[in-house]
Amino acid sequence: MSDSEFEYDSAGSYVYESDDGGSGDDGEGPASAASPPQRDAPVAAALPAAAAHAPAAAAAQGRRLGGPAPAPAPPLSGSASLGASDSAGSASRSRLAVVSQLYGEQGKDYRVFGPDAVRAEIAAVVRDVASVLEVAADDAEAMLLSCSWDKQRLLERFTERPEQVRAGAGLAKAGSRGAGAAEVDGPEADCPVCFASVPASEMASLACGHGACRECWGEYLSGQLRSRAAEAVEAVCMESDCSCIVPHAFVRHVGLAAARGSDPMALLTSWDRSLCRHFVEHSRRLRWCPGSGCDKAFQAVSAGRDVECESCGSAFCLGCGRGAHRPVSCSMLSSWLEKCEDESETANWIIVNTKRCPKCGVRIEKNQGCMHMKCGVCKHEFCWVCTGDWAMHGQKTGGYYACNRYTGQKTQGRGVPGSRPGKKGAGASALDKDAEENLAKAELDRYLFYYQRYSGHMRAGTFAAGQRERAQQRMAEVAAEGLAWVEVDFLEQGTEVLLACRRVLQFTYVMAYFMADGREKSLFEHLQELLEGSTEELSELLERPLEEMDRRQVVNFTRVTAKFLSQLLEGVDEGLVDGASGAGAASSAASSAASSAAAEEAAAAKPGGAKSTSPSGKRKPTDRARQRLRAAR
Amino acid sequence: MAGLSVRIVKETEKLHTDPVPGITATPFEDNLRHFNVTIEGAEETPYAGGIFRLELFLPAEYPMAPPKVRFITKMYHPNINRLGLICLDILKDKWSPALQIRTVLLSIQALLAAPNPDDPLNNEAAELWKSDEAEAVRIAADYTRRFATG
Repeated sequence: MSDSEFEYDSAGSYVYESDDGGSGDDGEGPASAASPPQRDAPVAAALPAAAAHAPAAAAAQGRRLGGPAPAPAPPLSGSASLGASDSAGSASRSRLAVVSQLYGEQGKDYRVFGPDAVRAEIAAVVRDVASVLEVAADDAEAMLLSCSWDKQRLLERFTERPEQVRAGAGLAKAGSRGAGAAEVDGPEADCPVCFASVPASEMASLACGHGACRECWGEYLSGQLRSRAAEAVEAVCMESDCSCIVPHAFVRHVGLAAARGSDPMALLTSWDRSLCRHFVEHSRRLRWCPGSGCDKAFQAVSAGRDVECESCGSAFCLGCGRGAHRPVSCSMLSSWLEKCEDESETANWIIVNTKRCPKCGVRIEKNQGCMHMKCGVCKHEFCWVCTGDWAMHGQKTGGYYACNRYTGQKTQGRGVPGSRPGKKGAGASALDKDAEENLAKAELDRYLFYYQRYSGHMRAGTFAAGQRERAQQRMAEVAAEGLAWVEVDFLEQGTEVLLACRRVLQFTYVMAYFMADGREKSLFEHLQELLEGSTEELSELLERPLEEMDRRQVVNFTRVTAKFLSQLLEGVDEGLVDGASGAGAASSAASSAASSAAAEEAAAAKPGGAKSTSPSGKRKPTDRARQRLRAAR
Repeated sequence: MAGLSVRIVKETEKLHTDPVPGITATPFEDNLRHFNVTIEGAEETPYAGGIFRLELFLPAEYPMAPPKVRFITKMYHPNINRLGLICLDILKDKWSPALQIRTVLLSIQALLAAPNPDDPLNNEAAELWKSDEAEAVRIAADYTRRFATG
């Protein structure tokens, strides 16, 4: 950030006009007179950013109307939002547009503040409070500091017990002397901090009257700024056991003396910065962008909302400040993370020390030396090393312990091939045998099933993030060959969609973990399946060498995948999960129908000879799912 | 902050010319920010009759940051641990630049007379102080006799 951003300019110096911390009347006059232009300036400055978002938001809105509507025709028209701009060839289209389409569907119900806008916001609230309570601006600021910048709460409390509020904020009783020059008898005084004799004019004190020289004050305040960051603005008098607060104007008063030839505004500037930090960090509705070095503050209207910072690209949740986590809610994510923390040790132990019986799937811990295992549940005999049938181990296979040789296709420790314990059907029946005894184990297996997929997408997401840079490089390469930017930005868009999908998929497993079995979950899993399949395809396409890449194919898959993504998110938003209410079921049925249309489109997107084999682990829609779809239509 | 500030020079002089009763503080010759301190145990406390040695160091930020003080003499006290570290608010978050070496040492002397077992640094001593004060006082007096006299 350039220093100019923090300059203590006309916009910043707002209400602190009176140098010697004068009374409320002095400070109020010019401040309220000058208020309209000051207030408008930051709003106007913020407008371009909001305007830049408008088209994307409008496009998203269009898709939202078209997507899950009950009418059969609209779903296909939804693709126009991505497809049209793609063919329109507008070079100004940035990656942010892609993401805002994915994440901006709820409409932009939040505001973004730069450093200047934050300062203006502080000035506005201080001015409001000062004029309503008829106190000096600095007193208003101190009281706001002491109650987390909650204007409403302050006004209520102040009306009830003004003196208590003032005392709590470290302010002297109303009507006592202000901070500034200290009262000194004689031309010189001894500073109680540095013990030097200084001219009386150099002595300064807060409202409490405890004097010290301006240089000591400056040193004290810089020390507070260094060690306490945002909380430095809550600094109190240097005297032992004195809780008198340091007002903003006093900082200016001592700032010049502290500078000692360096930037005379340095102290005030960093004080100002700390004040902004305090304001953002303590206000309940504001939150810093978590991106490192990013100075944007976000104001949320509603909690629990994923946003992407326009200036640094960090995607995060306005509600809890953690990384973006749609479609799960903040509280659901908290329970999941707590669970992960609790279970991680157990899960690790199980993965390290146990294997599944290759026949019945029960978890077995090996507690003796021999590799010849006999399952306690189904009596199946197998080899611990390769989990193969023990009957196949003998002289004809080259000795009992030939299986310690690496053959490259061992499935050690991977459990029963093809069994999916968490999913109804396969694998579950075996566990049901001894239901009561195995309940705890089954629950753990269920957790592990979701956890493995959750962490799998998390890792894939990290990898995809690395691809982002490579995509940029490739774009530069291609552009160097003389192609227009619009010809290559499909790469970037594809990568962005891939990243968003990985993130959402990661959290869909958290959601699925907490969902009760039933129709809603089946529909959710169907949407998840479609998205996962399409994401894998896209991921594979994007990893190909540039010369083998088919632009049209990537564009198609980007479009289709983005559509699956928005369908899943919309489905969840519109009550796919929250009880099988009539409306929820209808809308999920609609989005399910829409997704089948998209699936057809996906099939059409695959060119005849193109590689359409999916990775081995990829799930295909089951017959049951197809039946459900038919029913839904 | 090279060299010695006016404040440190003046404080040192005053500690020499106008000493606090029962307390001595003299800087070491090789480092004038490093003080050799003794505190006499107050009468009618288990520390009576003992002379306790401490060291005090003034960091570069002093007086904006508190001095670092620790007991060298072995102590039995709920707010002083085996390393001689002292649990005292003015040495931590309640430090004020208006406090001085003199006031810090006076506070430590007062802490010897009034232990606070509810905010312990030596858990064992604090628990005994709460459950059986007579025994705790006996052990503290024993420590004083063994380590702080002669």
